[in-house]
Amino acid sequence: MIENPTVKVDNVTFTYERGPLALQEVSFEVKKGEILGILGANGAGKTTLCFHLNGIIPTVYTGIEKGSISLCGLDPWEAPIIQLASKTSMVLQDPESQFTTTNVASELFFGPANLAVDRDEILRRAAWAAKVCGIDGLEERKPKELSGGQKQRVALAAGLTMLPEVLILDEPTSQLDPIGTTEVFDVIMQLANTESMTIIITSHKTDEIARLASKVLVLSEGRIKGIGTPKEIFSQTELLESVGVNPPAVTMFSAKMAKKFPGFQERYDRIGGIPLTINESYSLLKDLLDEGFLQLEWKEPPATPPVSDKIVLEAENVTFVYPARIPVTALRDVNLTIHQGEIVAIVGQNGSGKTTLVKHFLGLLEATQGVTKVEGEDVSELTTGSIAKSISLILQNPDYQLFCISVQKEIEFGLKNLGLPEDEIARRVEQSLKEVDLEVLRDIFPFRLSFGDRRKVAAAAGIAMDPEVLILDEPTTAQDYRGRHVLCQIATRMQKKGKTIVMISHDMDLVAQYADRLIVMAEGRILADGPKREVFGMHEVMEKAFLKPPQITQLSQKLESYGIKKNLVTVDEMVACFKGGGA
Amino acid sequence: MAFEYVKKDTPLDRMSPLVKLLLMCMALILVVQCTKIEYISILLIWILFASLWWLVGKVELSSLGFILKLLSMLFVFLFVVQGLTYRFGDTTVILQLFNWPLFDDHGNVMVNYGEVTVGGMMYGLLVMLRVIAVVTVVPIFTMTSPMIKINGALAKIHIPQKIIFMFITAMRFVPLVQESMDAIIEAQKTRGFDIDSANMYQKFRRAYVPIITPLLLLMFRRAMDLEVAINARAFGAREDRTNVEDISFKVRDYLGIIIIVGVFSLMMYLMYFETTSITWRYLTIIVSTILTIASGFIITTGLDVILQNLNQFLLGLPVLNWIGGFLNQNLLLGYGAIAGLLLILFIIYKLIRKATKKKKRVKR
Repeated sequence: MIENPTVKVDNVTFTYERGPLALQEVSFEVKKGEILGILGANGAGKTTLCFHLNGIIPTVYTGIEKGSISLCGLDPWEAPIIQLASKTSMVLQDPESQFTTTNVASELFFGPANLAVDRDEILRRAAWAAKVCGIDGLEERKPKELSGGQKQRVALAAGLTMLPEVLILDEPTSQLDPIGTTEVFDVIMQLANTESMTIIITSHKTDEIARLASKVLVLSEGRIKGIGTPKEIFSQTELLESVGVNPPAVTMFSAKMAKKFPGFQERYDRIGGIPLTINESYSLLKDLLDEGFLQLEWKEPPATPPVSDKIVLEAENVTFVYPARIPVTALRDVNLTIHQGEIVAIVGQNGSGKTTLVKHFLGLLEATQGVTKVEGEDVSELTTGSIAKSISLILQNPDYQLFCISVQKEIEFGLKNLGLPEDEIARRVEQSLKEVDLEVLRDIFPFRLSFGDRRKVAAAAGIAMDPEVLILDEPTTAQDYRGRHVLCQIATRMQKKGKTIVMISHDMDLVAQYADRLIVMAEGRILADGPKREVFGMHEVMEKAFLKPPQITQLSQKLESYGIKKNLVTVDEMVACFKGGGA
Repeated sequence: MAFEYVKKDTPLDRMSPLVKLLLMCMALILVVQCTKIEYISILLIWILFASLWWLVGKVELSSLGFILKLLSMLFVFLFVVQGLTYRFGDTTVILQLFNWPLFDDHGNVMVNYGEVTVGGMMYGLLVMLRVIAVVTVVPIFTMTSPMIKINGALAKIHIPQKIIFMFITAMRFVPLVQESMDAIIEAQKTRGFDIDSANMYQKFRRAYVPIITPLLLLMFRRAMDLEVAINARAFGAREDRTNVEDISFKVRDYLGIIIIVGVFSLMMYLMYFETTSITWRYLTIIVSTILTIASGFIITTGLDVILQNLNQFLLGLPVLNWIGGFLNQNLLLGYGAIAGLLLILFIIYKLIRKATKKKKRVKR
């Protein structure tokens, strides 16, 4: 049976009112039950495209449109959004902003109630959606009592209760830990298979997209750069890198291997294309190693640099209880020392106490029990203002701190608070602008910059304070592949100058690449603290903290019997361990 | 936050929000009519009635404390202003703060605006009780009614969905603003911006700019996002929106209405048709009985002699006699100096508390 495509976008070009050209000549089709993954850097037009598919454009945002769209037979420019909303449902990027009601249950009822669905049917759908998304039991919770990950699940469930034919997901897992991400993607896969829902999804998590999408579309600056099956798209690693998308690590590894060893590519082409998952990659390597096409020669990865003796941050038996109606113990007996010049990553699920711990060092919270010290001085005796000289925090959301009329003034603000002389302020502003490469934008109102640039402004403001310790809070949130590396590279340069870097993250790839030492937290406790390669090997700890080691590490663990002696963390380390066989 | 709904499963929880809205309306109507000092007694009965609702709804007392703390400065202000300006009722002077007499044509003192009178204090008390009578019923509504029920109940009385949504969004934004503000203050603190150690003048002059600006921008952005979010979920699609919550009137709702209307009618009767103002008489009897018992206790134990001597001694001291002189010795039964001393001790205690609050030092 030949079906009409559920979604048909034909040669669409779109310019925002008083804004930039957002989409150019975009055409594609999605059939019923398919999962389309949309990839692209921030600002590539992914969200604009999603807005086209559920009538937000032209209802809320308008602009000049050419071309045509057909959604389950409806034209978004003709049909009212109300009619569209019963066909397509969209889960927005920021789960925080789409909470329209005051608790989870009413959030799930909101959509179908608007469509005047029968009461019993609404209750049935809500129960089903809550179960599918793993949020049953949280019905009475208020938004602020949910973690970022739970909010994202609620948002997804609220989209599901509308029982749409097309489900559009814009970055549905940006705030989820690795295990949670896999769970949500499993739900999505199940929906496509069993309910034959058509799903359109944008994400930076290419390893998950590679696993489940039936079709992948790559956008860059509003244009389609490629469309095809995951294997077709992800094998073009150079194209992807050039548009700011990182292919899954194992795919990247295979591509590099193909370059190093002629004939490698033919081998994977023979089995159906470039490996996208760890298992595919492992079975390919296993065959090649067994055959003797490849040989494994252990190359010791670079050793962890020695740390200095000077302790900058210290926590002794810190316990913290949030005072509330029902007091919440956020930290339990935490002991920690961080030395000068280290790059430490604190990893763990949302709500595991990472941010709470960091706030103790900044003097924003005072330990219920125990002592926190900064450079040997007890934090509880110090004013928050003076701690700012030693520690800078680069926030997850820069909008909490930007308020000045220009980028330059924004950076000056912190320096003026420190009471520095004029010429010193001018010097530091220059230096930090150069550091983050924003010199040309110095007179622009920060709010008009893109999110990535706003984060850079916040980072520059932090660096300008010339702190001993730089703390990055979730450098990956709402950032594309390039954006997250930019911040970490700035941090690495700071570390070379003798500063100490603390990263809070649940992006394992990033942590694996930049940090030397990992601190794993769960439920307010430190579960493990040590060099990254060792910590990645502690399976029980990782599982308990809802973390997964990066793909390359998992692959290296599988290859242990072939002579991999330690956990490897980057693609290059892995490639270096192989050499061509005699055959 | 102090006024958010928490599920407690009390009869009040299950009651229709409309009944609680009625209670609020009645409180307002009552308070508007309480303009005479005698009505203090009626207000007290109403507050007693409202506190019964608090007990039934298991609403935390701490939230009442929170409101009273917020309003405490207003109350002090009311007492002072009313005390100094209200010139009806009992004109006995309690305290002469300063001398500002107004003379009539014959050169007699008509009124002295430097004096705090008993009548003025009573009127201040009345105004305070009026505020409290309204304020105590607000948490009964907000803390025992889930939004979804409020939504359903308002829809039932045919209030347009758009207005209900506006109302609910406003209620939802209050904690959101609070949260965002806390986050912003923390963010600015980590940039060396110490709002806690700035003095009042500095705070007003410039300190709020770095906090209010991001807050406003953030809220504008939130509002835009909310528009997208509700449109994406078909808000306003149908007039006959489904109500998931059961909002039909039950026995307890009718009972609630009967009680509210009953008590309100009783208050009205006492106010307008009960000519002997019986409640006021009872109140004065109760108050004077308590006073007699207290003074009887003091006299029988011989405390009065000691206190009198102490008072005389204090009046003999150079600074205290000056302060004691301000207070009306007759009215305070001759303990003016002791009252003055207690007041001074209280102020000193407050100042010491403020001064000894853990001082933080600057990092080296």
